[in-house]
Parts: sequence; C-alpha cells; structure tokens
Amino acid sequence: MGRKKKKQSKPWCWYCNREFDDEKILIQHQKAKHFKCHICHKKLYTGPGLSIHCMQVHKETIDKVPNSQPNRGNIEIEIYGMEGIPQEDLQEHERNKGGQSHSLSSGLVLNANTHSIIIGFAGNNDDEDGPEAKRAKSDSPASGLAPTPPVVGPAGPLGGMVVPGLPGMAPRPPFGVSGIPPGWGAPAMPVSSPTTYASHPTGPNGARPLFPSAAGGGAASSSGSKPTFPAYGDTNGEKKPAMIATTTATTRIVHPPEDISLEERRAKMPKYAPPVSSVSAVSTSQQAQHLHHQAQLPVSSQHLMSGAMMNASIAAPPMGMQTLPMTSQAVTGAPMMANPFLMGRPGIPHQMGGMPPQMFQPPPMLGGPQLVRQPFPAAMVGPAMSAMGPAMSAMGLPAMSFAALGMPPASAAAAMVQTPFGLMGTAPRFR
Amino acid sequence: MATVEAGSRSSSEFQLKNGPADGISRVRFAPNSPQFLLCSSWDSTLRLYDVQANTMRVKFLSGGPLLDCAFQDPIHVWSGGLEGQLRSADINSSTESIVGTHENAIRCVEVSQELNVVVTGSWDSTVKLWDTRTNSCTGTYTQPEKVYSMSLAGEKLVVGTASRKVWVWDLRNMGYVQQKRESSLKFQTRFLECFPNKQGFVLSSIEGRVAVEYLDPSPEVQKRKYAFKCHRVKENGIEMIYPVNAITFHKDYNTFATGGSDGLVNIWDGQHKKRLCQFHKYPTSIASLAFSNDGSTLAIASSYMHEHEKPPESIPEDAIYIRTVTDQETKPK
Repeated sequence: MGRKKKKQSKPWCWYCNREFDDEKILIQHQKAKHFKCHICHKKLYTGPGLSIHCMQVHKETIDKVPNSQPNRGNIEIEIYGMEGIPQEDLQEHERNKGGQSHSLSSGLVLNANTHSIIIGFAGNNDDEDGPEAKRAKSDSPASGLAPTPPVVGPAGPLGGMVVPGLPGMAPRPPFGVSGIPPGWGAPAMPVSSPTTYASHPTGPNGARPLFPSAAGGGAASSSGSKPTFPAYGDTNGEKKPAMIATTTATTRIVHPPEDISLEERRAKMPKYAPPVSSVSAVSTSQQAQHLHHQAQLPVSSQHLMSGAMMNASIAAPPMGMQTLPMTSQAVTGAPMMANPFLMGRPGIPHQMGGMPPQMFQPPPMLGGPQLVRQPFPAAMVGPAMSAMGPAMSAMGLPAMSFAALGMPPASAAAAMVQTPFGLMGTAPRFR
Repeated sequence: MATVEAGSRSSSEFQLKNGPADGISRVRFAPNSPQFLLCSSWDSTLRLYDVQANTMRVKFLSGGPLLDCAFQDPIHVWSGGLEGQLRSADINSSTESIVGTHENAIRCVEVSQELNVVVTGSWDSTVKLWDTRTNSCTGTYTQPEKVYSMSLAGEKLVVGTASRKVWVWDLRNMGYVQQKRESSLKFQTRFLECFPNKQGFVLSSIEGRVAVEYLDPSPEVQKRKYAFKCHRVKENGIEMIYPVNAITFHKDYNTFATGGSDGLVNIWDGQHKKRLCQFHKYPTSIASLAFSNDGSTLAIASSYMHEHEKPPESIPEDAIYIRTVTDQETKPK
C-alpha cells in the first residue's frame, strides 16, 4: 500500500462518498447530482443554495440533498467540492479508505464495483480488509457503499465507457441512489461475515442489522420456518444460509432470498430429496422410519431386475469386492438401491447403518446399482446406435423399462457388466 | 451418420429432439467437432447428441440428478451430480463406471486434456483431481466453501465458491493456493469461465452482473478488470434483475456469450466492452451455453431453474437449441 499519499489527495463527494480524480469534476458532479433543482433543473452551487432556490422560486421545501447517502442529506451544510466537509467526516473517510483498496480511487467507473482487489497472500485479505470494511459499513452505511451505485451504466459495458469523466451521471437512474443503498448495503456485509448476517428483503431500510450477532437472530427466524432445509450436506445443518436482499424500492432480483445456489435449493425439492432428508442427524425415528418404508417400495421393483443381473455379477465374483471401495462412502452401497436419490443424505445412512455390514456385500446388492447405472449398454451393445431412439424414450421409467431391457439378452448383459469391470479394475483405489 | 436436415430446422436455429426430461445442468460440445453435444440433466441422464443429424446417440442413466459433464476426448466423457459420484463413460462401448466419490454432490467437472486430469468440485468444499490414465484420485484439496463453479485456463484452475470466494490453483503444484480472491461482484457467484487465452476469467453473479477479471496480480493488469450489468429488464418501473447462469467463450475471437434467467443470450466483446448481439428470448431461463470448438455453433439450454419462490404455473419444457452463429454475431467489430 504505497499509494497512501495519492489516495489522500483524491477529492471526494461528501454527499455520496464518490471519489474523483479532480476537484473540478467533483464540483460538476455535485452540481449535476446534488444541487440540481428537480423542478426546473437549474444547477445551484450548494445545498443551502438549492434549498433557497426551491423555496423562493417554486415555493417548495427541500428536506434533503438529492441523491445523497442517508446520513449525508443535510441541506443546511454548505459544501462546495471539498470545502465545508465536517472535520470528523474527513477523518472518517480517510480511515475507511485504509480498508478499501485502491480500486476505489480509480477514476474509471467500471472499476468502482470492485471494492477490493484481493489477490494472493493467503489470509491477508481477511485480516486486513475484513474488519476495516465491516467497520466502515457499520459506522456509516454510506461510506462502504459509495462506490457501488456508479458502477456501470445500465447498458452493460458500453454504459460504463461512455462517460469516464463524469462517472455514473448519465446512467444512474434518477432515484437510484436512495433506492440502492439498502439493497447493496446488506449484501456487502458478507465481505466480513459471509454467512451470519441477514437482512429483511422487503424493508431493508433501518432493519438492516449492523452486527452479525443481531443478524443471526434474523436469519434464524426466517430460515427456521423452512422445513426442508438441510437436505444435502451436513455442513448445511449447522449454519443458516445468509439472506440476500433481493428486493429494493426499484429492483427485484429474481432469486430466492437464501444465499445458496439455485442447484442447492433445487436439490432440496421433494422431487429430488424426499422429505426425510431434512431429518438429517436429528433423532426423529418416526419420520425416518416412514421414509424407510417409502424407500422400500422402489426397492422391491428394482430387486426384480437386480435378480436378473445377479447371475452376471456372480459370474465375476471379485467385482463385488471391487465395487465396494468405489461406492463405499458409507452411504452408497445399499441405499442406492433403495432409492438412488437418497444417496449421500445424512438421514439414510443411519438407518442403513443398523444393518449388518455384510448387507453391503452380497452380489445382489451390488448388482443392483450396476444395473441401474447401465441400462443402456445392455440394450446398446449392438452397433446401430441410431436404433436406440425409441428404446430410449421408453427409459423414462427406469425401473420398469429397465427390467424389460435388461432381461432379454442375458449374454449381452453379462458382457456389459464385464466391460465396466475392465475399466473399474484400476479404479477402486482413489485415496 | 448421415446428415439429415430436421424438419423443424429454421434458418439458423433448431431444437434438439429427445431433450432431457428435467432440468438441464450443462451442455458441452465435443472437442474438435461441432457435431456432438453432451448434456447432463436433473433427470439423471447424460446424453450425447449428434447435432448434425439431430438425433440422440447415447444415453447413460445414473443414480441421481447430474450437475455437470465434460469431454475428456471425443470418446470419453465424465459426469458428476447430486449423489457425489464421479462417472466415466465410454461412448463407443456405451459403458460407464464410477471412478470415485465426493462426500457431497459434485457440482463441477472439468477435464484438462493436456495434463490428463479430471477436476471435480463439490459441495463438500473440496476439489479432487483424478488421473484419466489410471482413473484414480490423485489429491483432495480443501476449498473455502462449497464449490459453485470452476474453470480451467491451461494449468490454472479457478474455483468459485459460495460466499463469493475465488481461489486460483495451479494444477502442476497443488501444494498451495496461488491466489485467494474475493469475487468483485457483491452477490453470489453463479458461474465463471476462463478466457481461451488463459489470462483471466469472466465471472457472473445472481444479480445480473458480469465481471471480467485478470489472473496476473500486477496492478497494471488488475486495473483492466471491470464489471457490467446485464440480464435486467425494467417492468412497470421495477428493474427485474436475473441471475447470469452461463458463460461460454468463442475460442477464436475471445468473445463470450452469457445466458440469464431472463431467457436471453447476449454475446459480448469483453476487450472492447461492447455487446455484439442479443438473440431472441427463449422460453425460460438459459441454464447452460456452449460454443462449439470452432465457434460455428452455439448450444443453448433453455431450462427453468426455480429462481422464483413460487414456481410459475406452467413450466416450459426443457429444451436445447442449436444455433449457427455468424461472424457478425461473434466477431469483434
């Protein structure tokens, strides 16, 4: 950080915390952004000037400087460029900049979004940037946010390029500034505390918790109502997902409020993850039992076909042993047969764990997964792939059509089983 | 395979027949040929299409929804999904085997042909490397969070995780993390893809925004990084902001296409910061995009991704569109 000097000399706008390369530009910015009369678009020179103008010309009172950060709207303070900024705010700005990296100061609008460039130096960023950024944000929501609104014009890369000199002036929507901060403020917090904060999507304005601890409560209450929560992954069980402020006055992010990927969320849908999975490590034997029964249903149908396959697998005895390590991950062996979708879920293994270990070993069990995985090969051994079309469409119901496909050519099935083993022979050891 | 013109084929675009029966997680073209397209799906299938003939050539059924797939070479393909198993399939013999497992779902599968390595990224917050010659795991590397997206640039591996972390690894020396970054976007990382020229990557977030970043940590290079908004629509004074789910690069021109949950595909010239074109709106979210290796063809997977708290009443069918693109659409002006 050998650029301290340069940074200090950067003029910045007290109303919106933007930095500029040049005080002249700053003044232009203030006239256009903060001192412009919303009625006649006359550009005044100071906040009080604007207020007097509106009062005298339009008989309207202005209670805050347009486009200013929440706590910087004071219309009484006379600020012109860098002149007139209260001493403590000057100092605070200096302090905050310590935490924010140089990207802030770059005059190029496009960079503004990147409030920190953290590269290399493992761990450094957290120690250095984290706390600083956090303080900045909790002290005054304004400070940390400043760089955000101007980021880019609405038109994508082009927008940002248009006005390098007057960053963000044109592209910014009229009330963007007042609308954006809450939305941005919350998501910005993960910088320091990625998973613990929360914000209330609909009423972000004062509801935004300043500290993770406060946020924890919010998160708990909101996600507590979600029953199907920890489907995949045990880590999930402990920490609540952070929340995204998806809604502001003028914007709506089309994404669920939980800060988890769409895929994680989808994986929790009953279709992919039976409700049981939410039981996870919790005792609740009842539900688990229930699930177990459910799971049994598909089993029976699959057993049928696995029976067909059994012969083939017995023909190659070592396979059983080999497959084990591959699918071992505790969960996989048996449950897979019960219901392929259950695998990897914490809830099931416990149930299965009750069974003696040998349950995992008998060939029939292993035959099952193999089969399930390889319906195609059996049917497809023939060279004519294109002929597959119709057969495949029938595959919609794996279990049923499976039996149909798997049975007829016993020899083909055997062949197919062997091939994978050829491949798998080298595979099992993976650690 | 004879090349048959499908009846439904329009001038530059047609829909693949025999599309997956559930959400599409990834489409990828075969290396060196725009003829074959691989597709993994939530319906637990891995499908290979002959794009020119518009037929499905092979389908592998796995035990659970698949989240990613990749070509090793035209014959060998890899896939992984919710059950956490890494599968290797041989297209010619139509056989598949499980090569290994993660403790949680495998979210990403990448293959480095040069280094004979398959890289898997998982929600168990690890990345594993697998030797394609021995089909064995050669290492497990802890990541800061669940892996959401991954991309290879030569020997560099860029891993995007939950909590907006981006870690850069070197496949030749996985002993330490080369770079620990934070996404320059303020919202969850949705997807990332490295430049074909290996100098950087493009990262998208759920908040209709895309960042262009460079790997070289020197300040001069870092200065060039930028981000821009996209995939947003103003409706009744409210700006609807959509996740950017997919990015794919045109290998020759270094331009890239982005696909969003707004159902739109844009092609960008990242170097000149210009949008080259926007295609028509597709029925639903763009879940995945793939340029063919020669850049002549773009595969567009339109597949609803459950972005809404309440799903819409009718969900459009999951579909893959194959679009022949022109230089005008993809070449920097």
